[in-house]
Amino acid sequence: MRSIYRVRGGCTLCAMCYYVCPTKAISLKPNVTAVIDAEKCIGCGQCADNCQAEAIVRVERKTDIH
Amino acid sequence: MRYSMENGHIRADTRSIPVMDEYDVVVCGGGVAGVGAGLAAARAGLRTIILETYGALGGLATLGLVNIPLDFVSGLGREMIDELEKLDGHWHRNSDPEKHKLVLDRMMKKYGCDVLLVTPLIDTFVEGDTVRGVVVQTKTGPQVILGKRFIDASGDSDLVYFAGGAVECGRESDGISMACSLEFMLGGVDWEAYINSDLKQNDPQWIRLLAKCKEDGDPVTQIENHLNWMTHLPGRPQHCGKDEVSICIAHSRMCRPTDNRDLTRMYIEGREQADLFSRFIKKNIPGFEHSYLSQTAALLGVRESRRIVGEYRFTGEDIAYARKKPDVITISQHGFDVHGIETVGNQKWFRGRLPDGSEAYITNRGGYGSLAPPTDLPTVNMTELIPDGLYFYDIPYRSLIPTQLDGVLAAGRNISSNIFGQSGSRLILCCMSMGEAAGTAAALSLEHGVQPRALDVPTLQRTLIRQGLNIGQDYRDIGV
Ligand SMILES: Cc1cc2nc3c(=O)[nH]c(=O)nc-3n(C[C@H](O)[C@H](O)[C@H](O)COP(=O)(O)OP(=O)(O)OC[C@H]3O[C@@H](n4cnc5c(N)ncnc54)[C@H](O)[C@@H]3O)c2cc1C
Ligand code: SF4
Ligand code: SF4
Repeated sequence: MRSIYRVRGGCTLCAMCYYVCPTKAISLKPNVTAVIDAEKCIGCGQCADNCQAEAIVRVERKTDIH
Repeated sequence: MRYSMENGHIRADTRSIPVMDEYDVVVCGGGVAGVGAGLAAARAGLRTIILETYGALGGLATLGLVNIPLDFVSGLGREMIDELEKLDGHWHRNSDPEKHKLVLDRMMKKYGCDVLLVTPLIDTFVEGDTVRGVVVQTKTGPQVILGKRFIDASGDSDLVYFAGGAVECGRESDGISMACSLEFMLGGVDWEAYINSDLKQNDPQWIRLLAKCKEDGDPVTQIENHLNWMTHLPGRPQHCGKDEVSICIAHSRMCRPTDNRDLTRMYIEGREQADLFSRFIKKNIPGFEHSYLSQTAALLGVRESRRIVGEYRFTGEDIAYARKKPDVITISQHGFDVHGIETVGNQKWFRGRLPDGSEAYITNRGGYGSLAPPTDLPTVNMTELIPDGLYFYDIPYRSLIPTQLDGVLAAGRNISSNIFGQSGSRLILCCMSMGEAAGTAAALSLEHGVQPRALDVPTLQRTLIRQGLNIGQDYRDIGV
């Protein structure tokens, strides 16, 4: 299991997470929400710390077994 | 003083005002912009003073309970946020207004910037087109403070206005400003219950709740139609049902924030609305069952008022097209958002021209706001056209420079702009960075013996970058 981050409800598209993410895992979908690419997310949590809407949560993700 | 009466005015027969002191840099207003300006000038070794009407620094960010310092964190803003974090006064971009006041007091001491609290600026002393001094109100009557450079960070352009400089206010048609909000705080909140509730997670739930309230004739729906503007106060007990939140819901319309009668109207109206909303929230919102109104703000939330007319008027188009400027002094990534001037709701679009010259309703990231544009013209979201990684726009140095007056710069929410430009560039950390740029420019202009408008901009930009201010240098080549 590893931790990654996901955007849930309440996103105001302020783009703060987009700027702080060290791996550029976040894109902004106009009129929707920020979206985190689970493959690029390293679980550092900076996006969640910077989200004023508290719209980003940590989720546990099972490591893929090939 | 002796006065005589003349056609509804009184005339002072003789007026001699004592000079209290002389400074290199005099800053009018101790909001975040004034703080940034004062600290930057003092750090550059100049004898600097900030004049503030109220009893604490921070302006709207502290006294106005706007405890949500948004936009890029860099330079002195970075230091301020770091200091707040050391006191457990900042998380999720929310701040504790009390700790914030303390942090600002301590930063003044650290950089050796003088402050006069409870000291409003009431007039200026101008020779030709150059400001030489300001008149302040003190407990022993008016006194003069002389200076070499002046920074108008009053939010309302008081200094430039008193000096006879050109100003504008509100919308172009009639000068009426954006809605003002008296913020208030609720204690006894179970934040966990609220944040995990369906209501927080799901906007349509809010819409249904409000629709029901409208049917029931609840007066709050006459005041605002979007109730999700809450910020959580950090460091006040969490997860035990005793959290505190600050709420920006009360709205006064048709505002004239430079008219004292209208300001008084808005404070009183704001307190009545806070009473209504706190009862509404307690009754309807999960997690607020045991909440209570703990305070309304000491300072009315004036989003926008009198602005200087400067060398460049920053506009909504600058934001919509994420325009880059050669004389950038700070950047922002917040879209425009005009809180209903006449009516409930907020507006994130305006009628303007597309790059091909055709007319459209231009929006930016984050949707239309709750006031939808009309359908007679196409609605275009310009941010969709902006390449990834360039979702920010520049604030140009020229917008800090008044057109006629010398010796003066502006910073903060009163820079030269139209109402849409102002509505995006007014965020707390952007205002603080403008202040840092203005204070640095004041210092450089004195060092080089030129007026602020004649300052070599690349020199200013290099200095700002060296001081750690984010002027976009990490995202593109500024060429300095
Ligand atoms: C309701 C509301 C919600 C907001 N929401 C957000 C948000 O979510 N995030 C965000 O980042 N920003 C937000 N903002 C914007 C932000 O708070 C302000 O734009 C910013 O704090 C302005 O800083 P400033 O220093 O330019 O002006 P101000 O904070 O207004 O400071 C001006 C200071 O000058 C003083 N002053 C005025 N006239 C005189 C005089 N003649 N003599 C001496 N002193 C004088 C005043 O007392 C005041 O302290 C909001 C604003 C409002 C009103
Ligand atoms: S947790 Fe870190 S890596 Fe993952 S999206 Fe957030 S900022 Fe990016
Ligand atoms: S920081 Fe939060 S509110 Fe802002 S865009 Fe990211 S998820 Fe949305």
